[in-house]
Amino acid sequence: MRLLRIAVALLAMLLAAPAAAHLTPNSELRLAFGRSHVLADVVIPMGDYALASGNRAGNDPAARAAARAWLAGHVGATATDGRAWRVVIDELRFVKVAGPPDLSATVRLLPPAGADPRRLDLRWSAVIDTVPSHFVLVVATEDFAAGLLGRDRQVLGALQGEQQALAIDRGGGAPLAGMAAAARLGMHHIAEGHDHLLFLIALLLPAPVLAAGRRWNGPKPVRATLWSLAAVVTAFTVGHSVTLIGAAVFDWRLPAQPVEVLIALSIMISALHALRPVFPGREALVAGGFGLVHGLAFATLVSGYGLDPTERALTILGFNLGIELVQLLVVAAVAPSLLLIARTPAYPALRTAGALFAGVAAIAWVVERVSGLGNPVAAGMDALLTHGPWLIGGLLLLALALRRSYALRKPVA
Amino acid sequence: MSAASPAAAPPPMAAGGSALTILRFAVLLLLAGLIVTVIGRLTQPEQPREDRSVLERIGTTPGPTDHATALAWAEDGVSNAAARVPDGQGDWLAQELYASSLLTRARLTARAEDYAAAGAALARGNAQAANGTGPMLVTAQYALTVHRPREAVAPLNDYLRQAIMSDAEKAAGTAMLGDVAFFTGDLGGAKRRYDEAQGIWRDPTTEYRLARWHRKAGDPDAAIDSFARVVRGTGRRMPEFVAGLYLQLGALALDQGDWTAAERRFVQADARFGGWWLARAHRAQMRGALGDVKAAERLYREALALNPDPSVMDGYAALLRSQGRAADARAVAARAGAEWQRRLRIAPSAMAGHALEHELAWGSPPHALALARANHRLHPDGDAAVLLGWALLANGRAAEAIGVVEPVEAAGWKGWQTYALLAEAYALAGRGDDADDARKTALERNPRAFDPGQSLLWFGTH
Repeated sequence: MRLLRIAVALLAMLLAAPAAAHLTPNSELRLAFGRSHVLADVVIPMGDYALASGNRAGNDPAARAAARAWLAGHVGATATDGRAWRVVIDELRFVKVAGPPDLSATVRLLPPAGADPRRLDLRWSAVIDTVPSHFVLVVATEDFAAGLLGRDRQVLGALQGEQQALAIDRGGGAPLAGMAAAARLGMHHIAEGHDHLLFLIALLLPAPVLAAGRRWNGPKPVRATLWSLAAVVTAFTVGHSVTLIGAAVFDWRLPAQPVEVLIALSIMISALHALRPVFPGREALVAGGFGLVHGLAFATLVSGYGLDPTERALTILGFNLGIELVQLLVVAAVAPSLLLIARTPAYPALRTAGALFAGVAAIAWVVERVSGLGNPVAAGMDALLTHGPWLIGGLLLLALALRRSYALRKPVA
Repeated sequence: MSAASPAAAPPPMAAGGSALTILRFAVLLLLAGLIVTVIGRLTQPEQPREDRSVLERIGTTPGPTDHATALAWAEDGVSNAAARVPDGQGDWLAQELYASSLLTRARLTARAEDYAAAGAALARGNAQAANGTGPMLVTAQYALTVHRPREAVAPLNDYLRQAIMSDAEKAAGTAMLGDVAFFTGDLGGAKRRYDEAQGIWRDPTTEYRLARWHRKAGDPDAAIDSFARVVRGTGRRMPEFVAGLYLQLGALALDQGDWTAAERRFVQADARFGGWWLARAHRAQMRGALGDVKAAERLYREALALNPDPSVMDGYAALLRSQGRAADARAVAARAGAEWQRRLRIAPSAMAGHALEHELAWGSPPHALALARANHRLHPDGDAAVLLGWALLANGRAAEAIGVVEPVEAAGWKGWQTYALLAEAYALAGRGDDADDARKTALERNPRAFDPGQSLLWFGTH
């Protein structure tokens, strides 16, 4: 009887009612709104294209020509006054990116003279005029004037069956909205970029102390310390700005993995320097040099934004400003603590601990980035650094506590 | 930075001191690494409480190790039981045994004729039985199996009113009342009944139900833990049971977007219960989803050779469609459609949900909607609501779809499929922000929720 119950119950489990997600693949229209036109990135599942059009899918000239003609007959737009927009299919090919192959096309939608490029009635019937369950998702991926830079996409609407038109109104837009969005992106990126900030902080560790032969010695005067800090931060900024602009505008490129490994190595070198003077007096030079490497990593995030040169330039400028702002905040938060603690006997221990911390992180990240496999140390480091603000706050409390406990050492003249 | 003046230069270090210094720093470095690792582990998300390693080494007891043998046994069972009910005659106990044997065979073949015959046998048995007797439990289980949960209530109440019953039997009846609640959309009521049943008698089948409950509530981790408890609590594990468990675990991996892990589980299922068409079809779809079209096609053909089930045809048609082989896809889909129509005539409630999936992909939206409404009327659980939602969307009724699915989401059906549907429905209804939110929620639960390969997943997504 027990077996019977188990067997029968199992039957019930295995025959639970089906509730699959949408069983037919979707098309996507990804729209980028520029100052003079709309660029549409079109993705149509190849299978549904073949089903709807009756055409053969392929990248030979005949198949692509047939696909172009078919697509041109199924997409259009009109201005609010009814005048037709011009539709230009720039690229079309069948590609396999993730999952089954797709028809991928780039389509430029050009408004008639005098029409607002931010207001249109989109008309789309590709596949949905033949396959009733097919669904087209329309999203905005870039709209500089609305501060949308492609990090987040905005759903504009959807089309299915007889619903083949979508009214789009992006509003007036603000001239610097994109730049502000880029700045936010830069701030967000550097705030989450533990490796970038750790490199900078490791370079700052020896800033308040003097090198004496092969060791760090007593505290440096405050003014000299501040100049050192400013030099390091400025040099790092110049360095990463050069490569950020170069990569974003002139398409300078290195493969991502070596760049990431070099960044980890830069942290290791800074950590070693914080332990023992490796390049005393040349910290700014090193910061600038490695800044070039860090800039290549930044560029991967911001290249490609902006439909015209002005938008691209403002995007890069805004992004860089965002990075600088967070850098300055971090330096402003950390520097006072370093200055205070440097005037106590505890600084060598703090400097050493900080250097070791950065060194361990660097080794873990090198291993992770070379092997492509995560490791618990790297994961632990990332987990710890997400609590960065708490660490900085803790450092300040430590500085204040140490200041009360120890007599200040006189700075060396 | 400036170097110190020569007068303050430190004394040179002894030669041996360099080595000691290096050693000291290496030790400090290792210590720092250890501290960081410990801190990292402490800040990691909480690990599951159950030992899931039991799921990797599930032993089996003697029993049919492959589908063909199990089916042969089931056929024997049907023959023997049928001999006791010649021309439909026989007492209610014989009818009950006959119905059970048919359901056992149906579990292996999914044939509509067996469900219909089992229902007829149970109807005869119940007609003969005096009050308070009869095939109560099997009748209730049959009702649940063919997606008519409300018809299980009366026999279950009769069953639980028996004067003499063991704790195990009482727990079984209570758990099945939980199933009624589950399949009529009352997730909270279902959980209460399952917990009540476990309080009466801890039974792995109730734990199995809890695994399903957790899955539909959007907590795959809790579901996996439940399955681990099932394994520990199940004394006898036939190969078919083990294979079924692996299919469920694979389905959970699909829910979490881990297609590689899902495939691994489906391969395990196929290995533990050889020649099972359903496990083979699961493997076929994963090969297709992971980009190995040739292997997927071969596996689908093997599954069809084992059992030309229309759900396998639908999966195969989806694969062909994705590759642009429209004519081949249409031909296979047409055969599937014809078979679904035939099965719907024989066992409508058991087949409605599956036939509806076919209609959504290949058929007519109005017909799909009719099937979906009927399906939902019979068992208004979250899954049926989501299917009705898809059918409504296919008919251009986005607002109505939202009206159907939002309440089940609020009632606790928080699987990624619910949010994937809502994302689409909101987008069609012009609610872009809501669509974005629903989309994000779906992706949080299943990072592959909107992967193009989802259209190839016909098995294990329910």
